[in-house]
Amino acid sequence: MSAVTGRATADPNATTETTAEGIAGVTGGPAADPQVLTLVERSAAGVVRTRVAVTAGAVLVEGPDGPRTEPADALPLVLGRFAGLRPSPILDGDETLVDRAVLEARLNDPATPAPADAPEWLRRAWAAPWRRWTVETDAADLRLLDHIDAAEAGQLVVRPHDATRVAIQTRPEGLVWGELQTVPALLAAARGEIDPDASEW
Amino acid sequence: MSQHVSAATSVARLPHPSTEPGLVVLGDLPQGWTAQIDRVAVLLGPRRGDGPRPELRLSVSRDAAGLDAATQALIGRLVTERPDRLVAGCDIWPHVRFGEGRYVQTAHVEGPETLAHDVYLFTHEGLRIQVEVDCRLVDLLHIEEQVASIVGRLAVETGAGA
Repeated sequence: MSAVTGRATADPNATTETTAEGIAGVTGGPAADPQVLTLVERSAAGVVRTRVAVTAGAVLVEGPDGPRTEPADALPLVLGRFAGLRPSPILDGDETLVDRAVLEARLNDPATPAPADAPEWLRRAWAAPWRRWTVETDAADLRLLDHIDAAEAGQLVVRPHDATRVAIQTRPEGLVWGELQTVPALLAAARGEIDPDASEW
Repeated sequence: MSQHVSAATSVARLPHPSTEPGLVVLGDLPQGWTAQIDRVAVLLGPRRGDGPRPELRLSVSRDAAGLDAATQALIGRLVTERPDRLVAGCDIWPHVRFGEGRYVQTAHVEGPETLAHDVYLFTHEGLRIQVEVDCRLVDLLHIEEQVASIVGRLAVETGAGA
Protein backbone atom coordinates (compact mmCIF):
# COMPACT_ATOMS: atom_id res chain seq x y z
CA MET A 1 0.00 0.00 0.00
CA SER A 2 1.35 3.42 -0.81
CA ALA A 3 2.25 5.92 1.83
CA VAL A 4 -0.58 7.84 3.37
CA THR A 5 -0.73 11.52 2.68
CA GLY A 6 1.30 13.66 5.05
CA ARG A 7 1.01 17.27 6.04
CA ALA A 8 3.40 19.54 4.18
CA THR A 9 5.08 22.11 6.35
CA ALA A 10 7.72 23.72 4.16
CA ASP A 11 6.72 23.69 0.54
CA PRO A 12 2.92 23.94 0.08
CA ASN A 13 3.20 22.02 -3.17
CA ALA A 14 5.36 19.27 -1.72
CA THR A 15 2.67 16.76 -0.85
CA THR A 16 2.63 13.03 -1.09
CA GLU A 17 -0.46 11.43 -2.47
CA THR A 18 -2.15 8.15 -1.98
CA THR A 19 -3.29 6.47 -5.13
CA ALA A 20 -6.36 4.57 -6.18
CA GLU A 21 -4.26 1.43 -5.89
CA GLY A 22 -3.47 2.41 -2.32
CA ILE A 23 -7.12 2.76 -1.51
CA ALA A 24 -7.81 -0.59 -3.10
CA GLY A 25 -5.08 -1.96 -0.88
CA VAL A 26 -7.06 -0.97 2.19
CA THR A 27 -9.53 -3.67 1.39
CA GLY A 28 -6.90 -6.11 0.22
CA GLY A 29 -7.93 -5.96 -3.39
CA PRO A 30 -9.40 -3.80 -6.10
CA ALA A 31 -12.69 -2.24 -5.14
CA ALA A 32 -15.60 -2.81 -7.47
CA ASP A 33 -15.38 0.16 -9.79
CA PRO A 34 -14.90 2.74 -7.06
CA GLN A 35 -15.34 6.43 -7.63
CA VAL A 36 -12.45 8.32 -6.12
CA LEU A 37 -12.57 11.79 -4.66
CA THR A 38 -9.63 13.91 -3.64
CA LEU A 39 -10.21 16.16 -0.66
CA VAL A 40 -7.67 18.97 -0.60
CA GLU A 41 -7.14 21.37 2.26
CA ARG A 42 -4.83 24.33 1.85
CA SER A 43 -3.74 26.72 4.54
CA ALA A 44 -0.68 28.63 5.62
CA ALA A 45 0.57 25.32 7.04
CA GLY A 46 0.62 23.65 3.65
CA VAL A 47 -1.46 21.27 1.59
CA VAL A 48 -3.04 18.03 2.75
CA ARG A 49 -4.72 15.59 0.41
CA THR A 50 -7.10 12.86 1.45
CA ARG A 51 -8.34 10.22 -0.92
CA VAL A 52 -11.84 8.84 -0.65
CA ALA A 53 -13.04 5.82 -2.61
CA VAL A 54 -16.79 5.37 -2.83
CA THR A 55 -17.93 1.83 -3.55
CA ALA A 56 -21.30 0.20 -3.34
CA GLY A 57 -20.45 -1.28 0.03
CA ALA A 58 -18.30 1.25 1.84
CA VAL A 59 -16.53 4.57 1.87
CA LEU A 60 -12.76 4.08 2.12
CA VAL A 61 -10.79 7.03 3.42
CA GLU A 62 -7.03 7.50 3.32
CA GLY A 63 -5.82 10.68 4.96
CA PRO A 64 -3.20 11.95 7.36
CA ASP A 65 -4.63 9.85 10.17
CA GLY A 66 -4.37 6.62 8.20
CA PRO A 67 -6.90 4.49 6.39
CA ARG A 68 -10.37 3.85 7.68
CA THR A 69 -13.65 2.46 6.42
CA GLU A 70 -17.06 4.11 6.83
CA PRO A 71 -20.55 2.90 5.91
CA ALA A 72 -21.53 3.30 2.28
CA ASP A 73 -23.99 6.09 3.08
CA ALA A 74 -21.52 8.08 5.21
CA LEU A 75 -19.93 10.14 2.43
CA PRO A 76 -21.64 13.43 3.44
CA LEU A 77 -20.58 12.84 7.04
CA VAL A 78 -16.97 12.22 5.94
CA LEU A 79 -17.08 15.41 3.87
CA GLY A 80 -18.71 17.37 6.70
CA ARG A 81 -15.90 16.48 9.09
CA PHE A 82 -13.34 17.33 6.41
CA ALA A 83 -15.05 20.68 5.80
CA GLY A 84 -14.89 21.50 9.48
CA LEU A 85 -18.62 22.11 9.76
CA ARG A 86 -19.63 23.34 13.20
CA PRO A 87 -22.14 25.81 14.62
CA SER A 88 -20.74 29.29 14.03
CA PRO A 89 -22.15 32.79 14.28
CA ILE A 90 -23.42 33.86 10.89
CA LEU A 91 -21.67 36.96 9.61
CA ASP A 92 -24.07 39.33 7.91
CA GLY A 93 -22.77 40.72 4.66
CA ASP A 94 -23.19 40.90 0.93
CA GLU A 95 -21.07 39.19 -1.69
CA THR A 96 -17.82 41.10 -2.13
CA LEU A 97 -15.34 41.15 -5.00
CA VAL A 98 -11.68 40.53 -4.15
CA ASP A 99 -8.61 40.29 -6.35
CA ARG A 100 -7.63 36.68 -6.90
CA ALA A 101 -4.01 37.42 -6.08
CA VAL A 102 -4.94 39.06 -2.79
CA LEU A 103 -7.11 36.12 -1.77
CA GLU A 104 -4.38 33.65 -2.65
CA ALA A 105 -1.89 35.71 -0.70
CA ARG A 106 -4.20 35.73 2.34
CA LEU A 107 -4.61 31.99 2.12
CA ASN A 108 -0.86 31.46 2.20
CA ASP A 109 -0.05 34.23 4.67
CA PRO A 110 -2.56 35.24 7.39
CA ALA A 111 -0.70 38.54 7.82
CA THR A 112 -1.84 39.68 4.38
CA PRO A 113 -3.95 42.78 5.03
CA ALA A 114 -7.60 42.86 4.03
CA PRO A 115 -8.46 45.06 1.04
CA ALA A 116 -8.82 48.69 2.08
CA ASP A 117 -12.46 48.76 1.00
CA ALA A 118 -13.41 45.44 2.63
CA PRO A 119 -16.74 45.53 4.47
CA GLU A 120 -16.89 44.80 8.18
CA TRP A 121 -17.97 41.17 7.76
CA LEU A 122 -15.03 40.44 5.48
CA ARG A 123 -12.60 42.10 7.87
CA ARG A 124 -13.83 39.83 10.65
CA ALA A 125 -13.57 36.78 8.43
CA TRP A 126 -10.15 37.92 7.20
CA ALA A 127 -8.86 37.96 10.77
CA ALA A 128 -9.86 34.34 11.44
CA PRO A 129 -7.71 31.31 10.59
CA TRP A 130 -8.38 30.12 7.04
CA ARG A 131 -8.40 26.69 5.51
CA ARG A 132 -9.51 26.36 1.90
CA TRP A 133 -11.09 23.01 1.20
CA THR A 134 -12.04 21.49 -2.11
CA VAL A 135 -13.64 18.26 -3.23
CA GLU A 136 -12.51 17.00 -6.60
CA THR A 137 -13.44 13.97 -8.66
CA ASP A 138 -10.82 11.92 -10.43
CA ALA A 139 -13.09 10.53 -13.12
CA ALA A 140 -14.45 13.81 -14.38
CA ASP A 141 -11.47 15.90 -13.29
CA LEU A 142 -13.90 18.37 -11.77
CA ARG A 143 -13.92 20.43 -8.63
CA LEU A 144 -17.28 19.79 -7.03
CA LEU A 145 -16.93 22.13 -4.06
CA ASP A 146 -14.62 25.01 -3.19
CA HIS A 147 -14.96 26.78 0.16
CA ILE A 148 -12.99 28.39 2.94
CA ASP A 149 -13.39 27.22 6.50
CA ALA A 150 -12.81 30.46 8.39
CA ALA A 151 -12.94 28.91 11.87
CA GLU A 152 -15.10 31.03 14.19
CA ALA A 153 -16.17 33.16 11.22
CA GLY A 154 -17.85 30.16 9.60
CA GLN A 155 -17.81 29.01 6.00
CA LEU A 156 -17.08 31.22 3.00
CA VAL A 157 -17.85 30.40 -0.60
CA VAL A 158 -15.67 31.73 -3.41
CA ARG A 159 -16.88 31.98 -6.98
CA PRO A 160 -15.09 33.12 -10.13
CA HIS A 161 -16.16 36.62 -11.21
CA ASP A 162 -13.83 37.74 -13.95
CA ALA A 163 -10.23 37.31 -15.03
CA THR A 164 -8.77 39.05 -11.99
CA ARG A 165 -11.43 38.91 -9.28
CA VAL A 166 -13.48 36.41 -7.34
CA ALA A 167 -16.70 36.92 -5.44
CA ILE A 168 -16.57 35.88 -1.79
CA GLN A 169 -19.55 35.47 0.51
CA THR A 170 -20.45 33.92 3.83
CA ARG A 171 -22.37 30.66 3.62
CA PRO A 172 -24.40 29.25 6.50
CA GLU A 173 -23.22 25.81 7.55
CA GLY A 174 -26.66 24.40 6.92
CA LEU A 175 -26.41 25.27 3.25
CA VAL A 176 -22.94 23.75 3.00
CA TRP A 177 -24.27 20.64 4.73
CA GLY A 178 -27.04 20.48 2.14
CA GLU A 179 -24.47 20.72 -0.65
CA LEU A 180 -22.47 17.86 0.83
CA GLN A 181 -25.57 15.69 0.92
CA THR A 182 -25.93 16.10 -2.83
CA VAL A 183 -22.43 14.78 -3.58
CA PRO A 184 -23.49 11.11 -3.71
CA ALA A 185 -26.06 12.02 -6.35
CA LEU A 186 -23.44 13.97 -8.27
CA LEU A 187 -21.17 10.95 -8.23
CA ALA A 188 -23.99 8.76 -9.42
CA ALA A 189 -24.44 11.14 -12.32
CA ALA A 190 -20.72 11.40 -12.97
CA ARG A 191 -20.70 8.38 -15.17
CA GLY A 192 -22.85 10.37 -17.55
CA GLU A 193 -22.67 14.10 -17.30
CA ILE A 194 -21.96 16.51 -14.46
CA ASP A 195 -22.68 20.16 -14.66
CA PRO A 196 -21.72 21.44 -11.24
CA ASP A 197 -21.45 25.19 -10.90
CA ALA A 198 -17.92 24.92 -9.67
CA SER A 199 -14.57 25.78 -11.10
CA GLU A 200 -11.17 27.15 -10.28
CA TRP A 201 -11.01 30.60 -8.76
CA MET B 1 -52.62 6.10 19.24
CA SER B 2 -52.22 6.81 15.57
CA GLN B 3 -54.42 8.89 13.34
CA HIS B 4 -54.38 11.11 10.31
CA VAL B 5 -54.09 14.77 11.15
CA SER B 6 -56.47 17.18 9.55
CA ALA B 7 -56.66 20.93 9.81
CA ALA B 8 -55.59 22.42 13.14
CA THR B 9 -55.24 19.14 15.01
CA SER B 10 -53.31 19.14 18.28
CA VAL B 11 -50.00 17.36 18.01
CA ALA B 12 -48.28 18.12 21.30
CA ARG B 13 -49.37 19.41 24.68
CA LEU B 14 -48.03 20.04 28.15
CA PRO B 15 -48.93 17.42 30.78
CA HIS B 16 -52.32 18.95 31.68
CA PRO B 17 -54.29 18.72 28.48
CA SER B 18 -57.24 20.86 29.40
CA THR B 19 -55.38 23.78 30.90
CA GLU B 20 -51.96 23.99 29.34
CA PRO B 21 -50.83 25.20 25.91
CA GLY B 22 -50.25 22.74 23.13
CA LEU B 23 -49.15 22.72 19.52
CA VAL B 24 -51.23 22.38 16.41
CA VAL B 25 -50.32 21.96 12.78
CA LEU B 26 -52.43 24.36 10.75
CA GLY B 27 -53.77 22.61 7.69
CA ASP B 28 -53.18 19.09 6.48
CA LEU B 29 -49.99 17.12 6.87
CA PRO B 30 -48.02 16.54 3.68
CA GLN B 31 -48.81 13.41 1.66
CA GLY B 32 -47.69 10.24 3.39
CA TRP B 33 -47.37 11.71 6.89
CA THR B 34 -49.38 10.40 9.84
CA ALA B 35 -49.46 11.32 13.51
CA GLN B 36 -49.21 9.47 16.77
CA ILE B 37 -50.57 11.78 19.40
CA ASP B 38 -49.39 11.58 22.96
CA ARG B 39 -47.77 13.89 25.48
CA VAL B 40 -44.87 14.11 23.07
CA ALA B 41 -46.36 13.85 19.63
CA VAL B 42 -44.77 11.82 16.90
CA LEU B 43 -45.32 12.29 13.20
CA LEU B 44 -44.19 9.58 10.82
CA GLY B 45 -43.16 10.39 7.27
CA PRO B 46 -43.31 8.34 4.09
CA ARG B 47 -41.01 5.34 3.82
CA ARG B 48 -38.33 5.31 1.12
CA GLY B 49 -37.14 1.94 -0.06
CA ASP B 50 -36.63 -0.51 2.77
CA GLY B 51 -35.66 2.12 5.31
CA PRO B 52 -37.58 3.16 8.42
CA ARG B 53 -40.15 5.93 8.30
CA PRO B 54 -38.75 9.37 9.16
CA GLU B 55 -39.88 10.46 12.60
CA LEU B 56 -40.73 13.92 13.94
CA ARG B 57 -41.11 14.37 17.69
CA LEU B 58 -42.82 17.58 18.72
CA SER B 59 -42.76 18.90 22.25
CA VAL B 60 -43.68 22.04 24.13
CA SER B 61 -42.41 22.93 27.58
CA ARG B 62 -42.06 25.93 29.87
CA ASP B 63 -38.96 27.99 29.18
CA ALA B 64 -37.44 30.88 31.06
CA ALA B 65 -33.92 30.83 29.69
CA GLY B 66 -34.46 32.21 26.22
CA LEU B 67 -33.42 31.01 22.79
CA ASP B 68 -29.65 31.38 23.05
CA ALA B 69 -29.40 29.51 26.34
CA ALA B 70 -31.78 26.82 25.12
CA THR B 71 -29.72 26.42 21.95
CA GLN B 72 -26.44 26.08 23.83
CA ALA B 73 -28.01 23.55 26.17
CA LEU B 74 -29.38 21.61 23.22
CA ILE B 75 -26.04 21.45 21.40
CA GLY B 76 -24.30 20.46 24.61
CA ARG B 77 -26.78 17.63 25.11
CA LEU B 78 -26.44 16.44 21.52
CA VAL B 79 -22.67 16.22 21.79
CA THR B 80 -22.78 14.61 25.22
CA GLU B 81 -25.21 11.98 23.99
CA ARG B 82 -22.92 11.04 21.13
CA PRO B 83 -19.38 12.45 21.12
CA ASP B 84 -18.92 11.08 17.60
CA ARG B 85 -21.87 13.10 16.34
CA LEU B 86 -21.16 15.80 13.75
CA VAL B 87 -23.04 18.97 14.61
CA ALA B 88 -22.99 20.30 11.08
CA GLY B 89 -24.59 23.64 11.75
CA CYS B 90 -26.95 25.81 13.74
CA ASP B 91 -28.76 28.16 11.41
CA ILE B 92 -31.39 30.81 11.99
CA TRP B 93 -34.87 29.54 11.17
CA PRO B 94 -37.49 32.30 11.07
CA HIS B 95 -41.02 31.24 12.00
CA VAL B 96 -44.06 33.31 11.14
CA ARG B 97 -45.60 32.87 14.61
CA PHE B 98 -42.67 32.08 16.91
CA GLY B 99 -40.14 34.52 15.49
CA GLU B 100 -36.48 33.70 15.04
CA GLY B 101 -35.64 30.10 15.87
CA ARG B 102 -32.76 27.74 15.36
CA TYR B 103 -32.26 24.72 13.12
CA VAL B 104 -29.54 22.38 14.40
CA GLN B 105 -28.38 19.67 11.98
CA THR B 106 -26.41 16.62 13.07
CA ALA B 107 -25.37 13.22 11.76
CA HIS B 108 -23.72 10.13 13.16
CA VAL B 109 -22.94 6.56 12.25
CA GLU B 110 -24.90 3.85 13.97
CA GLY B 111 -24.03 0.32 12.90
CA PRO B 112 -24.12 0.08 9.11
CA GLU B 113 -26.11 3.29 8.67
CA THR B 114 -25.60 7.03 8.83
CA LEU B 115 -28.42 8.76 10.65
CA ALA B 116 -29.56 12.37 10.78
CA HIS B 117 -30.87 13.92 13.98
CA ASP B 118 -32.01 17.50 13.42
CA VAL B 119 -33.75 19.84 15.84
CA TYR B 120 -35.88 22.92 15.23
CA LEU B 121 -36.01 25.08 18.34
CA PHE B 122 -38.13 28.10 19.22
CA THR B 123 -38.92 30.04 22.35
CA HIS B 124 -42.19 31.92 22.37
CA GLU B 125 -44.17 33.57 25.17
CA GLY B 126 -42.46 31.55 27.89
CA LEU B 127 -42.65 28.28 25.97
CA ARG B 128 -39.94 26.16 24.42
CA ILE B 129 -41.11 24.53 21.21
CA GLN B 130 -38.98 21.75 19.81
CA VAL B 131 -39.22 19.51 16.78
CA GLU B 132 -36.74 16.64 16.54
CA VAL B 133 -36.25 14.90 13.20
CA ASP B 134 -34.81 11.38 12.98
CA CYS B 135 -34.20 9.63 9.69
CA ARG B 136 -31.52 8.07 7.56
CA LEU B 137 -29.19 10.76 6.26
CA VAL B 138 -29.87 9.61 2.71
CA ASP B 139 -33.57 10.37 3.25
CA LEU B 140 -33.11 13.84 4.72
CA LEU B 141 -33.11 15.89 1.51
CA HIS B 142 -36.19 14.01 0.31
CA ILE B 143 -38.28 15.08 3.31
CA GLU B 144 -36.68 18.46 3.94
CA GLU B 145 -39.41 20.55 2.36
CA GLN B 146 -42.19 18.50 3.95
CA VAL B 147 -40.65 18.90 7.38
CA ALA B 148 -40.19 22.61 6.85
CA SER B 149 -43.82 22.84 5.82
CA ILE B 150 -44.96 21.12 9.01
CA VAL B 151 -42.71 23.21 11.25
CA GLY B 152 -43.75 26.40 9.50
CA ARG B 153 -47.41 25.68 10.15
CA LEU B 154 -47.05 24.94 13.86
CA ALA B 155 -49.02 27.19 16.18
CA VAL B 156 -49.60 27.34 19.92
CA GLU B 157 -53.02 26.22 21.04
CA THR B 158 -53.94 27.86 24.31
CA GLY B 159 -55.36 25.52 26.94
CA ALA B 160 -58.99 25.89 27.87
CA GLY B 161 -58.19 26.93 31.42
CA ALA B 162 -55.11 28.98 30.63
